[in-house]
Amino acid sequence: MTQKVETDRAAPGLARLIARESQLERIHEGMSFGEGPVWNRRDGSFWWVDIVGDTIWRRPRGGTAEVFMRPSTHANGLTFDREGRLLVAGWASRSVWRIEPDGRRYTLASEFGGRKINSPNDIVVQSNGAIWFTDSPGALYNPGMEAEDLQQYLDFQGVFRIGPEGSLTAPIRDTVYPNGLAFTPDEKTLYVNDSRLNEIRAYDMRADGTCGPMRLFHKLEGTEPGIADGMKVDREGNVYCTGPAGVHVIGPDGKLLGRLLIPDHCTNMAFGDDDWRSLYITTYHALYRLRVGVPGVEVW
Amino acid sequence: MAWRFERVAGPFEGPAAGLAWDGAGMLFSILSQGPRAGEGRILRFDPKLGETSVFRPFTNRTSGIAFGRDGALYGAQELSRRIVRFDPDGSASLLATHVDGRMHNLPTSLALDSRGRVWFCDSKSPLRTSGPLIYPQGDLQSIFILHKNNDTWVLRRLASALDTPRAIALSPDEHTLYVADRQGLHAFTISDDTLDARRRLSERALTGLNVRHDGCILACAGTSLLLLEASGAVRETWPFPGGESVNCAFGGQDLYVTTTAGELWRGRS
Repeated sequence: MTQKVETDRAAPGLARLIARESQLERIHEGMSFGEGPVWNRRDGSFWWVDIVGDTIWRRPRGGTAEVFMRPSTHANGLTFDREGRLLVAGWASRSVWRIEPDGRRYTLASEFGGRKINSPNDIVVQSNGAIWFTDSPGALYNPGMEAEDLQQYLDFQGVFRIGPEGSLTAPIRDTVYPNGLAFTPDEKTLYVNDSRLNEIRAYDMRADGTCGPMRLFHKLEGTEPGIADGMKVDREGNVYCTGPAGVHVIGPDGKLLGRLLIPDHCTNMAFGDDDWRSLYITTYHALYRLRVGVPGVEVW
Repeated sequence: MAWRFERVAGPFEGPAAGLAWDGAGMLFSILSQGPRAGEGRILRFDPKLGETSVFRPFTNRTSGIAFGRDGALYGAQELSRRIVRFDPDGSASLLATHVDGRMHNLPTSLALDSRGRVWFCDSKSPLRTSGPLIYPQGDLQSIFILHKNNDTWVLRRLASALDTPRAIALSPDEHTLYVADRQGLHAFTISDDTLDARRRLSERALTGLNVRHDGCILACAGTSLLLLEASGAVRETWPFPGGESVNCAFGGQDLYVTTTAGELWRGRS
């Protein structure tokens, strides 16, 4: 199924990113809660999850979707590390893990200061190999996708960093429900959105892996269904973030360029295809693809 | 009987709700609201020390609480639409949430019987539940029972046609189940693990229910507390000076009351 992309609240800069005749193509459906989209540059496959359906999906280049892992610990965010290994924000497992070349699961983070972390939500890798992930408490509270142990032990819901040498730190602790996260193209700033506050926060990066104080980058607009959830950045620094009615496109200056009105409740998105100019969008029940004008920041 | 009431804890941020006596202290739940709703807590008041401490943080609007015969505390976690077991080791675990393939609505109150079974009622609620809205609330507002079959919790619906039930309690002999909803106070006869002979004992909208050893029912009615006969007849009415009451329970010789202002009050006769 293909349909024209509807937009609203469009500023003049939106048309260069999203052409007026852009088509939204539905390429898979049938999930209960689609999430975690990521393009694999190495073989042209596309990956995503169904959190409630407890499945990691993989779509090979030119092929149809196949189950990669089920059950999946109700996996959520996916990405690849610099060695091409699949990294998983393990949600109900209360851990971050990766798939080794032999197919085994290897846990990278599950405790902080001797306490279980909350439930890793989304994940991104920096050029130096550091892994950053949001640690919202969703698997402790959300019905239908629960962890085995429902108790929150940490006294914050923040953003963690796994250093290239494997150390776990918590550079950001002031978020309520951290969800999507993405770096600017120069990696000088980390954006983190907050689903409870429906806002995008910006943190300046320091060389030692810590962050500066929070700056409010953008407050999402709209009363329609939809929250700050998945978020990605293109090579010009424009921010794509889920929100009321669909995907909100925000300029590097924090001003709204327009909203893409997506059928079904939008959960996340990922740039992909060989030119990184396709925006793959997950919703509760389907996976969509849309061609865009500016390539996205590449995934390793 | 006259009670002398005093505030012993609070006000805390958010209404105070459920009560459970652990033999030496009174546990009470605090219902945080808004973006930080998950940060609701269960607190414990120690009457000997006169101090309040955190029994369990991050309870996501757990309202009703009650101890089971296994020594664990059980809670009606409204925003997560489930009954949880607060395990003694500090963890928390899920009981069953689905019946006939559908998730029940928001539970508010629960009662544990001598066999370790959990009786609770659910409400269709305008509260924003946690997570994605992919499980629409059903129209039925019901009474359920959870029992353990080997290591698996099994959920059954026993009765429906309730109107926003807020409180549930068992008689001392466990032959009668009381439920308070917006239409009043209802009694059901428990027979072979089913409910029948539903009857309305009172038309007053009550909140907390607590049954004394003699079978009389203590109930919250706003700024009054009522002592009802098992028939529903009002035996005594006690004015409550702490504002809008939510729940009431005996702890030792004292009577404890939670309020919408987030306070715990103690009454002594």
